[in-house]
Amino acid sequence: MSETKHIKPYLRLSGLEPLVVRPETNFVNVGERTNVTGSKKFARLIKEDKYEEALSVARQQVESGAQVLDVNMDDALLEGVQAMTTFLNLVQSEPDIAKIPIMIDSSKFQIIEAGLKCVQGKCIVNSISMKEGGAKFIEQAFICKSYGAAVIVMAFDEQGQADTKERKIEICHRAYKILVQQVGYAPQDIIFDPNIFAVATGIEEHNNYAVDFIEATREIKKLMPLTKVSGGVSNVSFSFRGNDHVREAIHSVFLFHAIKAGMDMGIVNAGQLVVYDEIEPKLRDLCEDVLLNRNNDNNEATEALINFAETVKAKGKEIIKDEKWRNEPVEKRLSHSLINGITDYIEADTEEARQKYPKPLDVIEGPLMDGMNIVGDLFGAGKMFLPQVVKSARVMKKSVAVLTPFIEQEKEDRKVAHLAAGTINEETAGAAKILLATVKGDVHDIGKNIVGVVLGCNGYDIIDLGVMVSADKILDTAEREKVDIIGLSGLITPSLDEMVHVAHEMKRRGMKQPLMIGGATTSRMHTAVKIAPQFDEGVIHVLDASRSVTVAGSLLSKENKPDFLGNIKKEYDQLKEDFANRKTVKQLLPFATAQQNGAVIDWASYEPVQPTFTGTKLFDKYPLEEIAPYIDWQPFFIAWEMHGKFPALLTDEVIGKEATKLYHDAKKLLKQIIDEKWLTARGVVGFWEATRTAADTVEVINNETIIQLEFLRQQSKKAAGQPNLSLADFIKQSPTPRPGVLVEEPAEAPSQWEGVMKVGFGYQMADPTTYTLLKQYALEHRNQPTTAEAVLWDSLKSKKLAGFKFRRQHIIGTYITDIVCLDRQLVIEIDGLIHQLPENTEADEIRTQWLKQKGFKVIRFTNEEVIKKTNDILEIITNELNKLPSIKYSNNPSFPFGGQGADFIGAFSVTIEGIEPHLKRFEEELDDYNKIILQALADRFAEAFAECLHARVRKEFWGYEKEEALTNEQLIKEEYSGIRPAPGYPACPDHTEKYKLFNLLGGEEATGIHLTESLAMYPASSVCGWYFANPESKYFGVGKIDKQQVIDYAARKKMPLEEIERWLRPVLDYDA
Amino acid sequence: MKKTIQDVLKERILIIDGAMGTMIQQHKLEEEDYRGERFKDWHTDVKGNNDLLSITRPDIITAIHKQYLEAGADIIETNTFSSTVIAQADYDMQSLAYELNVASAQCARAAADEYTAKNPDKPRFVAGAIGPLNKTLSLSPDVNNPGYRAVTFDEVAAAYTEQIKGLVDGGVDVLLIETIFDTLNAKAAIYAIQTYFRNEASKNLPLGGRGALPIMISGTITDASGRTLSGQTLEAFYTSVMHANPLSVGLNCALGAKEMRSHVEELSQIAGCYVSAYPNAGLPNAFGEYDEQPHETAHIIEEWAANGWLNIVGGCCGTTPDHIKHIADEVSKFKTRELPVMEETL
Repeated sequence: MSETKHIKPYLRLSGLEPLVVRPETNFVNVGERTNVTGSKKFARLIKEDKYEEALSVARQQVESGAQVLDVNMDDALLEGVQAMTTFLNLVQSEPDIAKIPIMIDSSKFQIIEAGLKCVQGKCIVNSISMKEGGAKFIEQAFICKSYGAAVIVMAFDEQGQADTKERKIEICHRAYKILVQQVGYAPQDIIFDPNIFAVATGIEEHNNYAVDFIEATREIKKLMPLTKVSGGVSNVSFSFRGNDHVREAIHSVFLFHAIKAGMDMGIVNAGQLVVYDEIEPKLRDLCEDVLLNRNNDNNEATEALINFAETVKAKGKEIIKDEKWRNEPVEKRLSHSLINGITDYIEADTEEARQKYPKPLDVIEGPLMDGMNIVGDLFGAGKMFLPQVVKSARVMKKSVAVLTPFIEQEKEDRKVAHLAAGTINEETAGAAKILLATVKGDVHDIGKNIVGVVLGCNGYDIIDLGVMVSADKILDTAEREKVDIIGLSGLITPSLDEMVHVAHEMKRRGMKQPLMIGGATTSRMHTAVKIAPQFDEGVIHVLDASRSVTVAGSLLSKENKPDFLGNIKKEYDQLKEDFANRKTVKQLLPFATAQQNGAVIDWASYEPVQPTFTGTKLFDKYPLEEIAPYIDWQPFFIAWEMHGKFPALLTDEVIGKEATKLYHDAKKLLKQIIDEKWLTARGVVGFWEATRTAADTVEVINNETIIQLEFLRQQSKKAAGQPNLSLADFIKQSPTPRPGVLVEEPAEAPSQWEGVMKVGFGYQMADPTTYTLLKQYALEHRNQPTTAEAVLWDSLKSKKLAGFKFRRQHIIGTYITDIVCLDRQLVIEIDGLIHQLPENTEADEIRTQWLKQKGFKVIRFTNEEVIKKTNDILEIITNELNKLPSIKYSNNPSFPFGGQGADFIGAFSVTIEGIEPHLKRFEEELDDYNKIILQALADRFAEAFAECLHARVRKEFWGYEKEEALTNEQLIKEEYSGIRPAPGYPACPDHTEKYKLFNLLGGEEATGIHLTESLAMYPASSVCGWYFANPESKYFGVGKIDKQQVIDYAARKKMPLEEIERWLRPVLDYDA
Repeated sequence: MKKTIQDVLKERILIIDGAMGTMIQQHKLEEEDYRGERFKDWHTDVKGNNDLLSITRPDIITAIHKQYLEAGADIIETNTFSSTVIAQADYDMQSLAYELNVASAQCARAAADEYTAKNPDKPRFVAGAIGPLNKTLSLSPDVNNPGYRAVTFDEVAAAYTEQIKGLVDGGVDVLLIETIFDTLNAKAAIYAIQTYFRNEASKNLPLGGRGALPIMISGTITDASGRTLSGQTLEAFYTSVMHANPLSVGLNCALGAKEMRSHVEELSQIAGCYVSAYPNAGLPNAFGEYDEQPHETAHIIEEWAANGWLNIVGGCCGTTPDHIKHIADEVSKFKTRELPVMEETL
């Protein structure tokens, strides 16, 4: 039997979903734009009967964080009952909107009641009062109660609106007693609006209005603790209308104090609120003086704030603070909106400008371009930062969207107008066009989107083909659209090759447009060495978005272009030369030497920890709120080209302020993403028994099958005592010997190997007696090798030859082979003269046939060949080995490895799903700013999820660090034990190992991740990797590797050399 | 003095009856059975108008009530699921709405009183069933016109007011708004009930009008999404009807006990009043019939009672007196759910 439950008297509201106002709720945002008295746009839409469009206003309110939707249809020209009914009925058919509770707002009670009849959820009525006496108040309250609505009571009685603290408290208390005692209202369903009046009006009696409200609130909450307090915040700053900067500061300071006093909800434009801490201290102090009525004898505080407001205007160049900007001519207003990223008035202002100018294009060419030029200048001068530019672009896009339909009608005029403008493509007589695309196989596009926005801001027409775009599509589009520049982006290493391919194709097609290269893995060096030589019409690496403008400008300027490209070419040629020279300085160790210098781990004293399960575990819809604390913010800011340490960059002298704004916007969106479940996190974790079977090979047992993981090893020269690392070093060799090792002890082979031996090497052919004889014989030979054998063995032993392990005088069946590589089943026979006699040749042939039957290939050399042409023979052997498949594991499973003391490896993948509709919506709203924040946050979520799961793996699932207690900073600094390197990244740079990783994890179906042909993961916000638990394991970079290792690696992976070279190109130390 | 339903709810889990329609079907009635003498010349077919049987075949309805009472039901529902002007329009019998409610209430009243008299220690109660209507206030029947409504709030409230009046005049103990798939329809019913009793209370009669009856509310979660047909989550639904100050809130219909389990659990956590549940006998098979056997249903419900989630339990579509008996037997072993403490401070 469960214990007694307790239910708290919270205010509970509902739409399709519940909204419970708890003490920790702090403040409930009431969306105010669906109010004909407050929003001109909404009023116009309703009056024009455009209800569908009016719904989008409501939707936008919900999306921007409104928790309750205020709906008001009080307009003299509207039939209020009918408008309220129509709109609310439509809202009910939109689950995205109807999910939040409705506040039915009217001064006419019949409109309120009409609204109540349309809404199934629990609403708030805004408002009723005792203005017309107690009886009417009671009647209305009863009606509200019969509809189950919470009710806002205005502090208003027959004598009028309450202005002083005492009157507010007295009226509210009286209303409370009536509602609770006579009407039977639950106290928590009563919300008071104790009237917020304007301060700083110059009339001394008004100076205490804010204090009256705040103090009344405090007293009301003390006297009637279950009730709520609400208010229309913007009233308080009414005397500063026209000066949004000061108004926003006043609102913020007012709310700061009112919420502390107990204010629970309010009708505010959440998007326009500044953060209290972010208000410049002087303004904040002045606002506080005015609102709290301090230092305000003879209106001193008021005067001070008014004066300050004037000075704010005087600092025109500071761009943010023109309090009278709404009164300026339309050009100035447009420019102001652009520079400050204000979207509120842009549609109205654009429309006004359109009517003022002869042609819609004139608006773009004139005020809009002027504004954007200022933005560009400020950005170029480092006075604006990327987030601001993106906000400006959002305003620009919205403005252009207003004009577009008109422009479309005037296509002819457009040509002429563009000729007059600055950026011109004479062939098409339009704005210069730049095509952007993320290349085939790659899915990452945050950087490309930012470049698009920045270039768009600078007046270019951007054709953005999106992600995973094939070379043909890029070039076909470029030719068809006659673009002026092509920009390619990519994040993962295989994209580099694709870019080379695109450049090559451009040359083949004889294209003339210059090519810009950008993205995280691209570099000036790679561009100079690999891409630029493919195409002669100009290839330029662009480091970041801010440089794209100057580069594009130079490329499009007839005068500058030749010089610019000439200089670039000179620079790149030099880089290429340097690169070639640098390469000649041989710094790499021979592969075999590097293999011998692996990490030394004392395996004898290491007891691998067994994970709590083997196989995989799926985490579907992992709670985002649990992931969020693991977010590493620094890369988020890097995505926005704001470099520095987090959180120090928030207070950085130069970028701190904008970084803080961005941070707040991101946090807000983050909260929304979590609260509204925009994204879902899916992860798979798996563990398997694993053993190291060769220097750089690890075998993983997955059910009955064995998967070989191949790793690469550092080859750079190391200081004494420093190892040449390979991830394989961190996995223990199985304590149980492998069958191949058992060859020499067949009689004692445990019975469990029987099934294996049938398909093995044939050693079971020898009976124990013969075997003993053979073994003695072999030992003798081994101790007395011929000269040729000694010479060849010297080059083969200790895996010197491309890492292959050889044995000599090895018994197979009833034969003793000279040298054998069991791995590839290659037998090397060195023939003395004796072999060339006919009878011996025949015997050799029989032996060869027998070995062949057993799956061995036999190659023969003469003593002379071995001694005189050792190198040639080694090459032949290597080639043979590489041609042969590594069959040992496929038909010779070494299962089980070892039971007790066996080591394990883990793997994981995480992905963040569901971003597309939200990106699409932001795109439709022309809101690149939030789109890019969202993308960057999704990436952060994926990384954080990987961090979060890794922590749980260490503590729970694998459990090798049960006691770990690290802070997020420590996690970011990778202070944990064990590692999670990802295929394609420095410790294991081969992307193709991802196939194995994803197969182990259950493929696309389980992981939700699709691998592109370049092995990029889609959705883009995905992370994968291996888990190594060994305390000695650490992150490292493989660095450059030589051809010998690549040949060996290709052989191990059974992939053609050229193919693996293509995948490994960035780490190759040679030209392939 | 007879114990009130509130008294008994404090003591034990109450059993509400099972399906009426399923039981009527077993009688294999024909058009003439429905018509009886009085409606033999009625201008439309009336077969299927089960509520009409309370007038034309009260013997059958009363017998079914008795079967459930015999099986152990503490609460029986009146045969009034469709007794409103709006629902009766299907048979052009709008004018009978009030009379149907009175007749059905009287059938149930008589049967319940008979059993209470037999065993005064187990008082039986009559719940006046208020169904969901065939027209909804939150949903448009026209996909191309989402703002359209086939009926208005005032029409729905007026229809329910008439039904309520009939049920009260017929002598029910409690009003049960059930099978709610559009919360706004239920809110209209609540509005009608509260307004009706408020008017009664203000009547200038020596003893005032009729005293307010308790309200039971039972919503319907239509599918696995855990939402009502009109889109609300369970908690949002409960929040939207809390103002009825209901005696109980619960779930019925659409789901079998197995599918209803998690929702009953959730409701038992959030409800400040008593909790009721009367699921269907499983999900219907391909022929629309319910196969779940009495012991199967009872077995699932037993666990709910053991968990302390239940105050009132019974059956909906497909359940029979045998189901009710099994359920009653199983849950009798367990204590009734304790009402949460409604705190008065935050």
